[in-house]
Amino acid sequence: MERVLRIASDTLKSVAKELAAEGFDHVKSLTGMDRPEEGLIELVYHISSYLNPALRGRIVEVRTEVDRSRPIINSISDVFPSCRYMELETRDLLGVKFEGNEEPDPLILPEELKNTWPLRKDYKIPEEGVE
Amino acid sequence: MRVKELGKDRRAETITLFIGPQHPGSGHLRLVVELDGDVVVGIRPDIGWVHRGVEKIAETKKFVQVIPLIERPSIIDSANMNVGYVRAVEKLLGVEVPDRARYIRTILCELNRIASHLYGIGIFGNMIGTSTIFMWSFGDREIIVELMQELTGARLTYSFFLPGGVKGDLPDGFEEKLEKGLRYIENRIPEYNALFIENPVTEDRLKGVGVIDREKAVQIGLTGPNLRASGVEYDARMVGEYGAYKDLGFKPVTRPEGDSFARLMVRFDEIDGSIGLIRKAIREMPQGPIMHERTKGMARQVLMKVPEGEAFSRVECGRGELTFFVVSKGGDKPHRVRMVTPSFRNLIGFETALVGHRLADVPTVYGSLDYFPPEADR
Amino acid sequence: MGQKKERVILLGNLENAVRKVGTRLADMRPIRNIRNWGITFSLWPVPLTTACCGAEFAATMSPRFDMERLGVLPMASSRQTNVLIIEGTLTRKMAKAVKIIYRQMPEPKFVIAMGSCAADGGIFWNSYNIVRPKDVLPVDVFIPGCPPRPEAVIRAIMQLQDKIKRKLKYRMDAKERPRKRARRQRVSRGV
Repeated sequence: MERVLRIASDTLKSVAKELAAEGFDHVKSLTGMDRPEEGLIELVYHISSYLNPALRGRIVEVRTEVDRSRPIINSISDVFPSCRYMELETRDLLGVKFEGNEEPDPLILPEELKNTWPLRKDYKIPEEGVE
Repeated sequence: MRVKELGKDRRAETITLFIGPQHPGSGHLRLVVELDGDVVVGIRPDIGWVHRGVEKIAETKKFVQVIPLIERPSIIDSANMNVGYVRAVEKLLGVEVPDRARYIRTILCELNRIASHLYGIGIFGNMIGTSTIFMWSFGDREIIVELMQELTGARLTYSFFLPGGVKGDLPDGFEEKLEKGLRYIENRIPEYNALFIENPVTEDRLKGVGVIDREKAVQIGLTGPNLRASGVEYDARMVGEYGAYKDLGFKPVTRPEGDSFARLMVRFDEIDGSIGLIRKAIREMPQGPIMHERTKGMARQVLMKVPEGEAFSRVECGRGELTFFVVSKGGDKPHRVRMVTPSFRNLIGFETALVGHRLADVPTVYGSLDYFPPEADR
Repeated sequence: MGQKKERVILLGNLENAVRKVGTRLADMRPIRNIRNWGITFSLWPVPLTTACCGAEFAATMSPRFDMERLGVLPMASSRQTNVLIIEGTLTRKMAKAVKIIYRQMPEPKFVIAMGSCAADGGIFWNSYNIVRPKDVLPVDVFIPGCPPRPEAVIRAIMQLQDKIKRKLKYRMDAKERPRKRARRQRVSRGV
């Protein structure tokens, strides 16, 4: 990865605006990783550009962390509309609240699994050969 | 035409219509459509009917066992999904794929792209009412599936690529069969032209419907043939970190209009492009090993421990760009596997393309975006 | 000579008696053969393309394998169908919709579970979001495979035809067939 930015969670929106001004125009993927032993949830954004010929094909990785017991962060879906559904999915599966991008119903989970956050490390599913 | 406001007290009411999860299309997707008479004023897709939790299950399986798991979301395109994951694991392991394996990967991926586009065209024809095109394209797709079965042994679920190379070499007599199959497909495309594309009914239903212009397509992050039909020249094969595309000289095809007709025609153009790439790859294929030394043999694959690190890879599937982000903590099971599929990124296209059109245009836009629900829900 | 006037007194309920006779007659040999021939060669499925198995089902409809020579024609509206083919994995959200679709179908109706995921979970057996179709609906035929080849799907339809010829009893009013009590899927939280 050529360019990795590690930032604090409250500066996410300003960094996103700077990247948009540089010429980056869409988010390719948003990953949430649960780290229970440090009490954090790490968010990794991969941002790239379609139109700018100098930046086309380059990916910027933006990493930030939120507290696991109170995971709230600003949404950047007004700067990059392409990450709106990815943020809703992260909210369903990990419990991170994106302020500015809220919907009452879960996106991909059914109603009965709302607020169960299956992708967290303490939600266990049966494994082969492990009793 | 919209129903105008009739006086201050009486406002035109809207009806909410559920185009429910079971419909004769390509899977389970519910569209909640708000109608003002016959005109769509709001649309909200409701997904999650096929969410099987692939990312969570992948944390309980070994690295090699994850390969069938991540192929299943888009089974009609499974070679491309396979390549994406295997590239990420190879970056973590630090192995270079031998040249002959890269060319074999290209051949299987391009054959799979032709089959995936024929599936998309068939389902599209079914949705707008011509079941002849459904029968034709599925019949032609069987030729390609037979060729892939000759090479790998399975009809849809190949799992042919492993970290380090490919599982097997080209069988004897494969080049002649491949040439016969490709020539058959090439001779069929003019018949599709005559029946489906130069048909005034098709042109009326598709031209000008669901227009997404260039800036809007970039802003909402569309991908794949939908993006190229709006005039943006971007294809993940150009960036060329996998396969033999840089050596074969690949160029993407684009169209400027951005309507449903352009999206359909880009798929036909890509079939032509893939046929050319396969022929070139067979001619220029180098000799050599098909698997890297460090990962040779099934025992090494199953017991392999991947060193700690993170890797990001992207490939071009039939429907768009697929990205993988694999995190390993040094064990034999991945810590986190994240895949963002092209259909999940194209989901926003519904809201952009359909507002202001009539209810009868909903299947047209749905089919032209080539949205595959199991791929989006994973 | 005066004609004696005959008076008939009916004992019992006429409607019930007619129902019993009709059900008995429809199960007897000549009518039963015609009825079975009609049902087995016009099994119309609901297109419920879930996932991977849906691609093989669509290939079975294609000209190479041609399901339609057995009379199988997928019909868009579920109120005009009589077999429900669950192709692939059934998630929790979709199970509720499948129950509604099953109730919309008229009698006599059948269910085929296609693929390993429909049989017992398949490759997704430990997912948090899937259910087994046999807990939700009464299944008649299971097709193993991941995905099953189109020839296997045709064989399953022929097995369903045999089952109908052997076992189908006529019911005059539509009643839901009894099914096993649904077992709720357990997810272990915390080890």
